[in-house]
Amino acid sequence: MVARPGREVVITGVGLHPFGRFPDKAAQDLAREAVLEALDDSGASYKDIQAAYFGHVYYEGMSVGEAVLGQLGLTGIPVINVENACSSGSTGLWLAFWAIASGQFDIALAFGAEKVPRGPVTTTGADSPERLIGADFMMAAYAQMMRRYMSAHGAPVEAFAQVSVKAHRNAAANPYAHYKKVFTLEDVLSSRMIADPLTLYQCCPTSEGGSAAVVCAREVADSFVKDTSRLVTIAGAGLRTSRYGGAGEGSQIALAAADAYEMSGQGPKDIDLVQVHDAGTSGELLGIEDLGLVERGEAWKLELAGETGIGGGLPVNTDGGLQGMGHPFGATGIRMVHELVTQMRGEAGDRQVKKAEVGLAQCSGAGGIATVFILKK
Amino acid sequence: MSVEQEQSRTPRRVSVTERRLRISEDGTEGVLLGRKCLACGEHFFGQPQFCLKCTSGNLEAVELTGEGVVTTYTIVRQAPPGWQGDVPYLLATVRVPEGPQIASEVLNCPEEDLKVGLPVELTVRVGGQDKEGNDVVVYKWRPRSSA
Repeated sequence: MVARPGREVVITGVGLHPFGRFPDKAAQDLAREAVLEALDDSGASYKDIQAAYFGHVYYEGMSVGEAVLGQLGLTGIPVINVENACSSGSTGLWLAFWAIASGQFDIALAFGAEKVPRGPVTTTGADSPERLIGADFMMAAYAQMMRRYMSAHGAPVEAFAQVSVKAHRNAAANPYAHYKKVFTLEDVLSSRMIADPLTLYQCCPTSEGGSAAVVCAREVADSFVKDTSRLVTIAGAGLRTSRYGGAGEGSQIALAAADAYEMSGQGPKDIDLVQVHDAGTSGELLGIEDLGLVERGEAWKLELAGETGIGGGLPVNTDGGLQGMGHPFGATGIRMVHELVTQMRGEAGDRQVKKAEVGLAQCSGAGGIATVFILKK
Repeated sequence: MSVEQEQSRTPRRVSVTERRLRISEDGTEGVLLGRKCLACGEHFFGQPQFCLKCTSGNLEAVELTGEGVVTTYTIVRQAPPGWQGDVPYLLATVRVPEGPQIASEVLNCPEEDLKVGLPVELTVRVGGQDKEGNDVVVYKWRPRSSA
Protein backbone atom coordinates (compact mmCIF):
# COMPACT_ATOMS: atom_id res chain seq x y z
CA MET A 1 0.00 0.00 0.00
CA VAL A 2 1.58 3.26 -1.08
CA ALA A 3 0.79 6.63 0.45
CA ARG A 4 -1.41 8.99 -1.57
CA PRO A 5 -0.64 12.65 -2.23
CA GLY A 6 -2.94 14.96 -0.26
CA ARG A 7 -3.34 17.24 -3.28
CA GLU A 8 -2.32 17.37 -6.93
CA VAL A 9 1.31 18.31 -7.64
CA VAL A 10 2.32 19.81 -10.98
CA ILE A 11 5.57 20.67 -12.72
CA THR A 12 5.39 24.30 -13.81
CA GLY A 13 8.88 24.76 -15.21
CA VAL A 14 11.95 22.80 -16.30
CA GLY A 15 15.48 23.83 -17.20
CA LEU A 16 18.69 22.24 -18.41
CA HIS A 17 22.29 23.24 -18.73
CA PRO A 18 23.61 21.38 -21.83
CA PHE A 19 25.51 18.18 -21.03
CA GLY A 20 29.12 17.93 -22.14
CA ARG A 21 32.48 19.20 -20.87
CA PHE A 22 32.79 22.77 -19.56
CA PRO A 23 36.30 23.31 -18.19
CA ASP A 24 35.59 26.98 -17.48
CA LYS A 25 32.50 26.31 -15.39
CA ALA A 26 32.10 24.89 -11.89
CA ALA A 27 29.23 22.56 -10.97
CA GLN A 28 27.61 25.52 -9.23
CA ASP A 29 27.48 27.41 -12.55
CA LEU A 30 25.81 24.48 -14.31
CA ALA A 31 23.28 24.26 -11.48
CA ARG A 32 22.53 27.96 -11.44
CA GLU A 33 21.91 28.17 -15.19
CA ALA A 34 19.52 25.21 -15.08
CA VAL A 35 17.67 26.76 -12.14
CA LEU A 36 17.31 30.14 -13.90
CA GLU A 37 15.94 28.42 -17.00
CA ALA A 38 13.42 26.44 -14.94
CA LEU A 39 12.27 29.53 -13.03
CA ASP A 40 11.85 31.45 -16.26
CA ASP A 41 9.89 28.55 -17.75
CA SER A 42 7.67 28.34 -14.66
CA GLY A 43 6.64 31.98 -14.46
CA ALA A 44 7.73 32.07 -10.81
CA SER A 45 10.68 34.09 -9.54
CA TYR A 46 13.24 32.85 -7.03
CA LYS A 47 11.60 34.70 -4.15
CA ASP A 48 8.46 32.58 -4.65
CA ILE A 49 10.35 29.34 -3.95
CA GLN A 50 9.66 27.97 -0.46
CA ALA A 51 12.07 25.00 -0.35
CA ALA A 52 14.84 23.56 -2.50
CA TYR A 53 16.50 20.16 -2.97
CA PHE A 54 19.88 19.83 -4.66
CA GLY A 55 21.06 16.46 -5.97
CA HIS A 56 24.78 15.86 -6.44
CA VAL A 57 27.32 13.15 -5.65
CA TYR A 58 30.93 14.30 -5.72
CA TYR A 59 32.11 16.31 -2.77
CA GLU A 60 32.96 19.87 -3.73
CA GLY A 61 32.59 21.36 -0.27
CA MET A 62 29.73 21.59 2.17
CA SER A 63 26.36 23.18 1.43
CA VAL A 64 26.74 23.52 -2.32
CA GLY A 65 22.97 23.85 -2.83
CA GLU A 66 22.93 26.84 -0.48
CA ALA A 67 25.93 28.34 -2.27
CA VAL A 68 24.18 28.09 -5.64
CA LEU A 69 20.87 29.54 -4.49
CA GLY A 70 22.50 32.20 -2.32
CA GLN A 71 23.61 33.77 -5.61
CA LEU A 72 19.93 34.32 -6.43
CA GLY A 73 19.19 35.97 -3.10
CA LEU A 74 19.31 35.05 0.59
CA THR A 75 15.64 34.32 1.25
CA GLY A 76 16.13 32.00 4.22
CA ILE A 77 14.27 28.99 2.78
CA PRO A 78 15.09 25.39 3.75
CA VAL A 79 17.62 23.88 1.33
CA ILE A 80 18.62 20.22 1.39
CA ASN A 81 21.58 18.64 -0.37
CA VAL A 82 20.71 15.13 -1.51
CA GLU A 83 23.06 12.27 -2.34
CA ASN A 84 21.62 9.02 -3.68
CA ALA A 85 24.28 8.19 -6.24
CA CYS A 86 23.03 8.52 -9.83
CA SER A 87 19.48 9.06 -8.58
CA SER A 88 20.36 12.06 -6.41
CA GLY A 89 18.42 14.50 -8.58
CA SER A 90 15.32 12.35 -8.84
CA THR A 91 15.47 11.72 -5.09
CA GLY A 92 15.44 15.49 -4.58
CA LEU A 93 12.40 15.70 -6.85
CA TRP A 94 10.72 12.89 -4.88
CA LEU A 95 11.27 14.87 -1.66
CA ALA A 96 9.91 18.05 -3.26
CA PHE A 97 6.87 16.14 -4.57
CA TRP A 98 5.96 14.79 -1.16
CA ALA A 99 6.60 18.07 0.62
CA ILE A 100 4.06 19.75 -1.64
CA ALA A 101 1.66 16.80 -1.70
CA SER A 102 1.57 16.82 2.09
CA GLY A 103 0.90 20.52 2.32
CA GLN A 104 4.27 21.43 3.85
CA PHE A 105 5.06 23.82 0.98
CA ASP A 106 3.16 25.20 -1.99
CA ILE A 107 6.08 25.64 -4.39
CA ALA A 108 9.55 24.08 -4.41
CA LEU A 109 12.63 23.70 -6.57
CA ALA A 110 14.44 20.44 -7.30
CA PHE A 111 17.74 20.68 -9.13
CA GLY A 112 20.90 18.69 -9.77
CA ALA A 113 24.36 19.15 -11.24
CA GLU A 114 27.61 17.26 -11.60
CA LYS A 115 31.06 17.33 -13.17
CA VAL A 116 31.98 13.65 -13.46
CA PRO A 117 35.70 13.10 -14.04
CA ARG A 118 36.81 10.85 -16.90
CA GLY A 119 37.66 7.21 -16.26
CA PRO A 120 36.19 4.00 -14.82
CA VAL A 121 33.62 4.34 -12.06
CA THR A 122 33.82 2.26 -8.89
CA THR A 123 31.70 2.39 -5.77
CA THR A 124 34.31 1.69 -3.07
CA GLY A 125 37.30 3.80 -2.10
CA ALA A 126 41.00 3.50 -2.91
CA ASP A 127 41.90 1.55 0.24
CA SER A 128 39.16 -1.03 -0.16
CA PRO A 129 40.08 -4.73 -0.49
CA GLU A 130 37.84 -4.62 -3.55
CA ARG A 131 40.67 -3.00 -5.52
CA LEU A 132 42.71 -6.21 -5.52
CA ILE A 133 39.67 -8.48 -5.95
CA GLY A 134 38.77 -6.70 -9.16
CA ALA A 135 34.98 -7.15 -9.09
CA ASP A 136 33.97 -3.58 -8.20
CA PHE A 137 33.77 -1.95 -11.61
CA MET A 138 30.46 -0.49 -12.74
CA MET A 139 30.80 -1.41 -16.41
CA ALA A 140 31.93 -4.98 -15.55
CA ALA A 141 28.71 -5.27 -13.54
CA TYR A 142 26.68 -4.11 -16.57
CA ALA A 143 28.61 -6.58 -18.75
CA GLN A 144 27.79 -9.45 -16.40
CA MET A 145 24.13 -8.37 -16.37
CA MET A 146 24.24 -8.45 -20.18
CA ARG A 147 25.82 -11.92 -20.29
CA ARG A 148 23.28 -13.31 -17.83
CA TYR A 149 20.41 -11.95 -19.97
CA MET A 150 21.94 -13.23 -23.23
CA SER A 151 22.40 -16.67 -21.70
CA ALA A 152 18.87 -16.81 -20.27
CA HIS A 153 16.97 -15.43 -23.28
CA GLY A 154 19.17 -16.09 -26.31
CA ALA A 155 19.49 -12.38 -27.05
CA PRO A 156 22.25 -11.42 -29.52
CA VAL A 157 24.75 -8.69 -28.70
CA GLU A 158 23.27 -6.66 -31.58
CA ALA A 159 20.11 -6.01 -29.54
CA PHE A 160 22.18 -4.25 -26.89
CA ALA A 161 24.22 -2.35 -29.44
CA GLN A 162 20.94 -1.20 -31.01
CA VAL A 163 20.12 0.60 -27.73
CA SER A 164 23.15 2.79 -28.36
CA VAL A 165 22.40 3.29 -32.06
CA LYS A 166 18.87 4.44 -31.24
CA ALA A 167 20.05 6.63 -28.36
CA HIS A 168 22.64 8.42 -30.46
CA ARG A 169 20.19 8.95 -33.31
CA ASN A 170 17.86 10.67 -30.81
CA ALA A 171 20.68 12.66 -29.26
CA ALA A 172 21.70 13.99 -32.69
CA ALA A 173 18.38 15.87 -32.70
CA ASN A 174 18.97 17.30 -29.21
CA PRO A 175 20.96 20.52 -28.75
CA TYR A 176 21.49 19.70 -25.05
CA ALA A 177 23.13 16.32 -25.68
CA HIS A 178 26.79 15.60 -24.92
CA TYR A 179 27.25 13.50 -28.04
CA LYS A 180 25.43 14.42 -31.24
CA LYS A 181 27.21 11.97 -33.54
CA VAL A 182 25.19 9.21 -35.17
CA PHE A 183 26.57 5.68 -34.82
CA THR A 184 25.90 2.60 -36.92
CA LEU A 185 25.57 -0.85 -35.38
CA GLU A 186 29.04 -1.60 -36.74
CA ASP A 187 30.48 1.54 -35.08
CA VAL A 188 29.07 0.45 -31.73
CA LEU A 189 30.15 -3.20 -31.93
CA SER A 190 33.65 -2.42 -33.18
CA SER A 191 34.39 0.27 -30.59
CA ARG A 192 36.94 -0.61 -27.90
CA MET A 193 35.90 -3.56 -25.71
CA ILE A 194 35.63 -2.52 -22.07
CA ALA A 195 34.34 -5.79 -20.54
CA ASP A 196 33.01 -8.47 -22.89
CA PRO A 197 30.53 -8.04 -24.47
CA LEU A 198 30.18 -4.37 -23.50
CA THR A 199 32.00 -2.05 -25.90
CA LEU A 200 32.90 1.59 -25.26
CA TYR A 201 29.95 2.93 -27.23
CA GLN A 202 27.61 0.87 -25.03
CA CYS A 203 28.79 2.68 -21.90
CA CYS A 204 27.31 6.07 -21.15
CA PRO A 205 29.87 8.88 -21.27
CA THR A 206 30.97 10.63 -18.10
CA SER A 207 29.73 14.20 -18.40
CA GLU A 208 28.99 17.57 -16.85
CA GLY A 209 25.62 19.24 -16.74
CA GLY A 210 22.73 20.57 -14.70
CA SER A 211 18.95 20.23 -14.56
CA ALA A 212 16.10 21.78 -12.60
CA ALA A 213 12.35 21.61 -12.11
CA VAL A 214 9.85 23.86 -10.35
CA VAL A 215 7.01 21.97 -8.74
CA CYS A 216 3.95 23.36 -7.05
CA ALA A 217 0.50 22.51 -5.79
CA ARG A 218 -2.01 22.62 -8.66
CA GLU A 219 -4.29 24.81 -6.60
CA VAL A 220 -1.71 27.65 -6.52
CA ALA A 221 -0.27 27.18 -10.03
CA ASP A 222 -2.65 29.68 -11.65
CA SER A 223 -1.04 32.56 -9.78
CA PHE A 224 2.35 31.82 -11.40
CA VAL A 225 1.98 30.24 -14.81
CA LYS A 226 0.93 32.21 -17.87
CA ASP A 227 -0.30 29.13 -19.73
CA THR A 228 -1.88 26.34 -17.67
CA SER A 229 -1.99 24.12 -20.74
CA ARG A 230 1.75 23.61 -20.22
CA LEU A 231 1.33 22.10 -16.74
CA VAL A 232 2.26 18.46 -16.26
CA THR A 233 1.03 16.49 -13.24
CA ILE A 234 3.23 14.20 -11.18
CA ALA A 235 0.65 11.42 -10.96
CA GLY A 236 2.85 8.77 -9.36
CA ALA A 237 6.19 8.60 -7.57
CA GLY A 238 8.21 5.69 -6.19
CA LEU A 239 11.60 5.36 -4.52
CA ARG A 240 12.91 1.99 -3.37
CA THR A 241 16.15 0.23 -2.49
CA SER A 242 17.21 -3.43 -2.81
CA ARG A 243 15.10 -6.05 -1.17
CA TYR A 244 17.00 -9.25 -0.31
CA GLY A 245 16.66 -11.84 -3.05
CA GLY A 246 14.80 -9.39 -5.24
CA ALA A 247 15.47 -9.53 -8.97
CA GLY A 248 13.08 -8.99 -11.84
CA GLU A 249 9.62 -8.53 -10.35
CA GLY A 250 11.18 -8.15 -6.90
CA SER A 251 13.84 -5.65 -7.96
CA GLN A 252 13.89 -2.10 -6.65
CA ILE A 253 12.89 -0.89 -10.14
CA ALA A 254 9.80 -3.12 -10.16
CA LEU A 255 8.88 -2.16 -6.58
CA ALA A 256 9.29 1.57 -7.19
CA ALA A 257 7.24 1.23 -10.38
CA ALA A 258 4.51 -0.67 -8.51
CA ASP A 259 4.24 2.23 -6.06
CA ALA A 260 4.04 4.74 -8.90
CA TYR A 261 1.48 2.71 -10.87
CA GLU A 262 -0.70 2.28 -7.79
CA MET A 263 -0.52 5.95 -6.81
CA SER A 264 -1.24 7.20 -10.33
CA GLY A 265 -3.92 4.71 -11.29
CA GLN A 266 -1.98 4.19 -14.55
CA GLY A 267 -0.67 0.79 -15.63
CA PRO A 268 2.13 -0.31 -17.97
CA LYS A 269 -0.27 -0.30 -20.94
CA ASP A 270 -1.07 3.38 -20.35
CA ILE A 271 2.53 4.55 -20.70
CA ASP A 272 3.15 6.41 -23.97
CA LEU A 273 6.86 7.06 -23.59
CA VAL A 274 9.56 6.13 -21.12
CA GLN A 275 12.91 7.28 -19.80
CA VAL A 276 15.00 4.44 -18.40
CA HIS A 277 18.47 4.23 -16.85
CA ASP A 278 20.73 3.13 -19.70
CA ALA A 279 24.16 3.63 -18.09
CA GLY A 280 25.14 0.42 -19.86
CA THR A 281 22.95 -0.65 -22.80
CA SER A 282 21.73 -3.67 -20.80
CA GLY A 283 20.12 -1.23 -18.36
CA GLU A 284 17.53 -0.33 -20.99
CA LEU A 285 16.47 -3.89 -21.84
CA LEU A 286 16.31 -5.07 -18.25
CA GLY A 287 14.77 -1.79 -17.16
CA ILE A 288 11.76 -1.86 -19.47
CA GLU A 289 11.12 -5.47 -18.42
CA ASP A 290 11.40 -4.66 -14.71
CA LEU A 291 8.95 -1.79 -15.30
CA GLY A 292 6.45 -4.31 -16.65
CA LEU A 293 6.34 -2.55 -20.03
CA VAL A 294 7.51 -5.68 -21.89
CA GLU A 295 7.31 -9.40 -21.08
CA ARG A 296 10.41 -10.84 -19.41
CA GLY A 297 12.88 -11.90 -22.08
CA GLU A 298 11.16 -9.95 -24.87
CA ALA A 299 12.77 -6.50 -24.61
CA TRP A 300 15.61 -7.45 -26.93
CA LYS A 301 13.17 -8.30 -29.71
CA LEU A 302 11.38 -4.96 -29.28
CA GLU A 303 14.70 -3.13 -29.54
CA LEU A 304 15.83 -4.96 -32.69
CA ALA A 305 12.43 -4.35 -34.30
CA GLY A 306 12.83 -0.58 -33.80
CA GLU A 307 9.82 -0.31 -31.48
CA THR A 308 11.75 1.81 -28.96
CA GLY A 309 12.48 4.52 -31.56
CA ILE A 310 10.62 7.82 -31.68
CA GLY A 311 8.13 6.44 -34.23
CA GLY A 312 7.79 3.08 -32.50
CA GLY A 313 5.20 1.56 -30.22
CA LEU A 314 7.15 2.31 -27.01
CA PRO A 315 9.51 5.27 -27.46
CA VAL A 316 12.40 4.96 -25.01
CA ASN A 317 14.88 7.73 -24.14
CA THR A 318 13.74 10.10 -26.86
CA ASP A 319 16.41 12.68 -25.93
CA GLY A 320 19.25 10.20 -26.17
CA GLY A 321 19.19 8.75 -22.65
CA LEU A 322 22.36 8.39 -20.61
CA GLN A 323 24.07 6.90 -23.68
CA GLY A 324 23.61 9.99 -25.85
CA MET A 325 23.00 12.80 -23.34
CA GLY A 326 25.83 11.67 -21.09
CA HIS A 327 25.51 11.13 -17.36
CA PRO A 328 26.32 13.92 -14.90
CA PHE A 329 25.13 11.96 -11.87
CA GLY A 330 23.14 14.55 -9.93
CA ALA A 331 21.55 16.01 -13.06
CA THR A 332 20.29 12.86 -14.77
CA GLY A 333 17.09 12.16 -12.81
CA ILE A 334 15.61 15.59 -13.45
CA ARG A 335 16.94 15.60 -17.05
CA MET A 336 14.69 12.57 -17.66
CA VAL A 337 11.70 14.51 -16.32
CA HIS A 338 12.70 17.55 -18.45
CA GLU A 339 12.41 15.44 -21.60
CA LEU A 340 9.09 13.91 -20.61
CA VAL A 341 7.65 17.36 -19.85
CA THR A 342 8.95 18.74 -23.16
CA GLN A 343 7.38 15.84 -25.06
CA MET A 344 4.11 16.11 -23.18
CA ARG A 345 3.91 19.82 -23.99
CA GLY A 346 4.39 19.00 -27.69
CA GLU A 347 7.60 21.05 -27.74
CA ALA A 348 10.13 18.34 -28.65
CA GLY A 349 10.56 19.39 -32.30
CA ASP A 350 12.36 16.73 -34.34
CA ARG A 351 12.17 14.35 -31.36
CA GLN A 352 8.41 14.71 -30.86
CA VAL A 353 6.46 11.49 -30.37
CA LYS A 354 2.88 11.34 -31.62
CA LYS A 355 1.15 10.45 -28.36
CA ALA A 356 2.63 11.81 -25.15
CA GLU A 357 -0.07 11.97 -22.49
CA VAL A 358 1.41 9.61 -19.91
CA GLY A 359 5.16 9.32 -19.40
CA LEU A 360 7.36 7.30 -17.04
CA ALA A 361 10.87 8.17 -15.90
CA GLN A 362 13.01 5.55 -14.15
CA CYS A 363 16.39 6.53 -12.69
CA SER A 364 18.74 4.14 -10.86
CA GLY A 365 21.46 4.76 -8.29
CA ALA A 366 24.45 2.58 -7.40
CA GLY A 367 23.82 0.85 -4.11
CA GLY A 368 20.49 -0.56 -5.19
CA ILE A 369 18.35 2.57 -5.62
CA ALA A 370 15.49 3.10 -8.05
CA THR A 371 13.15 6.05 -8.56
CA VAL A 372 10.09 6.08 -10.79
CA PHE A 373 7.89 9.03 -11.75
CA ILE A 374 4.69 8.81 -13.75
CA LEU A 375 3.71 12.11 -15.34
CA LYS A 376 0.33 12.88 -16.81
CA LYS A 377 -0.79 15.67 -19.09
CA MET B 1 69.16 -9.27 11.43
CA SER B 2 72.19 -9.21 9.09
CA VAL B 3 72.04 -7.30 5.79
CA GLU B 4 71.93 -10.60 3.90
CA GLN B 5 69.04 -11.83 6.02
CA GLU B 6 67.10 -8.57 5.48
CA GLN B 7 67.49 -8.72 1.72
CA SER B 8 66.41 -12.33 1.44
CA ARG B 9 63.38 -11.94 3.76
CA THR B 10 60.26 -12.87 1.82
CA PRO B 11 57.22 -10.60 2.13
CA ARG B 12 54.58 -11.57 4.63
CA ARG B 13 51.42 -13.00 3.13
CA VAL B 14 48.13 -11.56 4.32
CA SER B 15 44.53 -12.25 3.36
CA VAL B 16 42.83 -9.61 1.19
CA THR B 17 40.25 -9.50 3.96
CA GLU B 18 40.00 -11.80 6.94
CA ARG B 19 36.24 -11.27 6.90
CA ARG B 20 36.01 -13.37 3.74
CA LEU B 21 39.16 -15.46 3.40
CA ARG B 22 41.24 -17.38 5.92
CA ILE B 23 44.60 -18.39 4.50
CA SER B 24 47.21 -20.92 5.55
CA GLU B 25 50.46 -19.69 7.08
CA ASP B 26 52.30 -19.84 3.75
CA GLY B 27 49.35 -18.32 1.88
CA THR B 28 48.96 -21.17 -0.60
CA GLU B 29 45.58 -22.39 0.65
CA GLY B 30 42.43 -20.68 1.73
CA VAL B 31 38.91 -21.16 3.04
CA LEU B 32 35.94 -18.94 2.21
CA LEU B 33 34.31 -17.53 5.32
CA GLY B 34 30.71 -16.62 5.86
CA ARG B 35 27.89 -16.48 8.36
CA LYS B 36 24.63 -18.33 8.69
CA CYS B 37 21.47 -16.81 10.10
CA LEU B 38 20.13 -18.98 12.91
CA ALA B 39 16.70 -17.38 12.61
CA CYS B 40 16.01 -18.01 8.90
CA GLY B 41 18.84 -20.25 7.69
CA GLU B 42 20.22 -17.90 5.02
CA HIS B 43 23.98 -17.93 4.34
CA PHE B 44 26.18 -14.92 3.57
CA PHE B 45 29.70 -14.40 2.29
CA GLY B 46 31.77 -12.38 4.73
CA GLN B 47 30.77 -11.33 8.24
CA PRO B 48 27.58 -9.33 8.21
CA GLN B 49 26.44 -8.44 11.70
CA PHE B 50 22.78 -8.76 10.77
CA CYS B 51 20.94 -11.08 8.42
CA LEU B 52 20.32 -9.24 5.16
CA LYS B 53 17.17 -11.26 4.61
CA CYS B 54 15.37 -11.17 7.98
CA THR B 55 17.45 -8.58 9.94
CA SER B 56 18.13 -10.95 12.83
CA GLY B 57 21.37 -10.41 14.75
CA ASN B 58 21.62 -14.11 15.56
CA LEU B 59 24.28 -15.36 13.12
CA GLU B 60 27.06 -17.89 13.47
CA ALA B 61 30.39 -18.07 11.63
CA VAL B 62 30.63 -20.78 8.96
CA GLU B 63 32.98 -21.91 6.24
CA LEU B 64 31.58 -21.87 2.72
CA THR B 65 32.28 -24.65 0.24
CA GLY B 66 35.20 -23.78 -2.01
CA GLU B 67 33.52 -24.62 -5.26
CA GLY B 68 30.54 -23.55 -7.31
CA VAL B 69 29.00 -22.79 -10.68
CA VAL B 70 29.45 -19.72 -12.88
CA THR B 71 26.18 -17.75 -13.12
CA THR B 72 27.57 -14.94 -15.26
CA TYR B 73 30.94 -13.58 -16.36
CA THR B 74 32.82 -10.99 -18.35
CA ILE B 75 36.35 -10.39 -19.64
CA VAL B 76 37.61 -7.10 -18.23
CA ARG B 77 39.79 -5.30 -20.77
CA GLN B 78 40.24 -1.96 -19.05
CA ALA B 79 41.84 -2.10 -15.61
CA PRO B 80 39.70 -0.58 -12.87
CA PRO B 81 41.63 1.70 -10.47
CA GLY B 82 43.89 -0.18 -8.06
CA TRP B 83 43.92 -3.47 -9.98
CA GLN B 84 47.41 -4.98 -9.86
CA GLY B 85 46.80 -8.06 -11.97
CA ASP B 86 46.97 -8.72 -15.67
CA VAL B 87 44.62 -7.14 -18.19
CA PRO B 88 42.52 -8.56 -19.72
CA TYR B 89 41.27 -10.75 -16.91
CA LEU B 90 38.34 -13.11 -16.61
CA LEU B 91 35.78 -12.12 -14.00
CA ALA B 92 32.97 -14.47 -13.00
CA THR B 93 30.14 -14.52 -10.48
CA VAL B 94 29.99 -17.95 -8.90
CA ARG B 95 27.19 -19.45 -6.84
CA VAL B 96 28.46 -21.68 -4.04
CA PRO B 97 26.23 -24.53 -2.74
CA GLU B 98 25.18 -22.59 0.38
CA GLY B 99 23.70 -19.86 -1.83
CA PRO B 100 25.98 -16.79 -1.83
CA GLN B 101 27.26 -15.50 -5.17
CA ILE B 102 30.94 -14.60 -5.13
CA ALA B 103 32.61 -12.58 -7.88
CA SER B 104 36.31 -12.87 -8.56
CA GLU B 105 38.93 -13.49 -11.22
CA VAL B 106 39.01 -16.85 -13.00
CA LEU B 107 42.45 -18.39 -13.60
CA ASN B 108 43.71 -21.24 -15.79
CA CYS B 109 40.77 -20.91 -18.13
CA PRO B 110 40.94 -20.21 -21.88
CA GLU B 111 38.52 -17.40 -22.80
CA GLU B 112 36.43 -19.70 -24.98
CA ASP B 113 35.86 -22.15 -22.12
CA LEU B 114 34.33 -19.56 -19.81
CA LYS B 115 30.56 -19.96 -19.83
CA VAL B 116 27.45 -19.82 -17.67
CA GLY B 117 27.22 -23.16 -15.89
CA LEU B 118 30.98 -23.83 -15.77
CA PRO B 119 31.90 -25.72 -12.57
CA VAL B 120 34.76 -24.00 -10.75
CA GLU B 121 36.76 -24.45 -7.58
CA LEU B 122 38.41 -22.03 -5.20
CA THR B 123 42.06 -21.16 -5.52
CA VAL B 124 44.11 -18.45 -3.87
CA ARG B 125 46.78 -16.26 -5.43
CA VAL B 126 48.78 -13.22 -4.55
CA GLY B 127 46.81 -10.37 -6.11
CA GLY B 128 49.27 -7.60 -5.36
CA GLN B 129 51.06 -5.77 -2.55
CA ASP B 130 49.59 -3.59 0.17
CA LYS B 131 51.04 -0.32 1.48
CA GLU B 132 53.25 -2.19 3.96
CA GLY B 133 54.75 -4.33 1.21
CA ASN B 134 52.95 -7.52 2.22
CA ASP B 135 51.77 -9.92 -0.45
CA VAL B 136 47.98 -9.81 -0.47
CA VAL B 137 46.37 -13.21 -1.05
CA VAL B 138 43.04 -13.10 -2.91
CA TYR B 139 40.35 -15.77 -3.39
CA LYS B 140 39.95 -16.65 -7.04
CA TRP B 141 38.30 -19.34 -9.15
CA ARG B 142 39.58 -21.91 -11.62
CA PRO B 143 37.82 -24.59 -13.65
CA ARG B 144 37.14 -27.59 -11.43
CA SER B 145 39.65 -30.37 -12.00
CA SER B 146 37.95 -33.50 -13.24
CA ALA B 147 39.90 -35.76 -10.86
